[in-house]
Amino acid sequence: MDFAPLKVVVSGPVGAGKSTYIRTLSTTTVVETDEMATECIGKDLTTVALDFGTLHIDGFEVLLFGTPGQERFDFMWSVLCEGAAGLLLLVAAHRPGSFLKARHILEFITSQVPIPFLLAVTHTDQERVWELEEIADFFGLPVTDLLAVDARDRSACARMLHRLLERCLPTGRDEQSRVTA
Amino acid sequence: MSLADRLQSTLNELRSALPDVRGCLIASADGMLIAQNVSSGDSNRMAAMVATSLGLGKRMCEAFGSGSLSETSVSGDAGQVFIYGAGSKGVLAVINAAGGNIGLLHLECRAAARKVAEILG
Repeated sequence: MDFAPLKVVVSGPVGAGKSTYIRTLSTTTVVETDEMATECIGKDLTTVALDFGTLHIDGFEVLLFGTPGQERFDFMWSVLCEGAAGLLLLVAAHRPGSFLKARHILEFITSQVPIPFLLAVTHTDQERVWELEEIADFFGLPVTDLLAVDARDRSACARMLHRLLERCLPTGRDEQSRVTA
Repeated sequence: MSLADRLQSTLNELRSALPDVRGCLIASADGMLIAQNVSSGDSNRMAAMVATSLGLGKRMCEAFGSGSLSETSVSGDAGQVFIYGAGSKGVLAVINAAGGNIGLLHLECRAAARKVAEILG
């Protein structure tokens, strides 16, 4: 099958799991631009430019571009979203404090490039997490725009991407998500 | 002298040594502004951008087998930005008007970057 590669942007606030998501799915060596974090963000390293990985799914070659999470890098959100087919916005269910930032990212990106998106709700295995319905309410989105995903689980990540691709390609393709290494 | 004062005086010295330079700043590798001597523009934004450029440059050096990155630059028709790694923690960026003595600029800036690396430890 010969389709042009699809560009998918993975964005979201700091610590949502963007880099992990791309590492989990990519079948090629991931380009990571992580640097030592000087702010207290709950981890040692943070992405300053982009993460880049590739995979084949549903007969398509997908290029995954991960953005930095901090607002000071918002120019990279614009740069990376150019020509994108879809957006996965990762939101950590146990960090309601980051929801506003996530909504800002979503509005920033979709106001510049109106692309299909899905909200990937991560860290749902933590204690004291928001339910999908509550998060949907906060974002003013139908709950069908949200999906819980463990960014470390390859098949869950692939299902998420498959769901997004269905939105990017409304004609639809086979139901079963197939990931070829 | 405090850490901040030492970094600031490094930038101030750089600007007085190089009259064509329109500004210079020091940022952390993750894009937080540490010190600046910039005539115009949003220095916080510049700090994030130079960290992005440096971070990408580092991975390009790895990918292309060019060793560890020492510097990178961006040129427009009205000026250039030179970005120098300053140890593992910092980055020095120098905004230059078009033309000028680039040889002298590199000489001064590389020395300044080494000094910044020392100060940041």
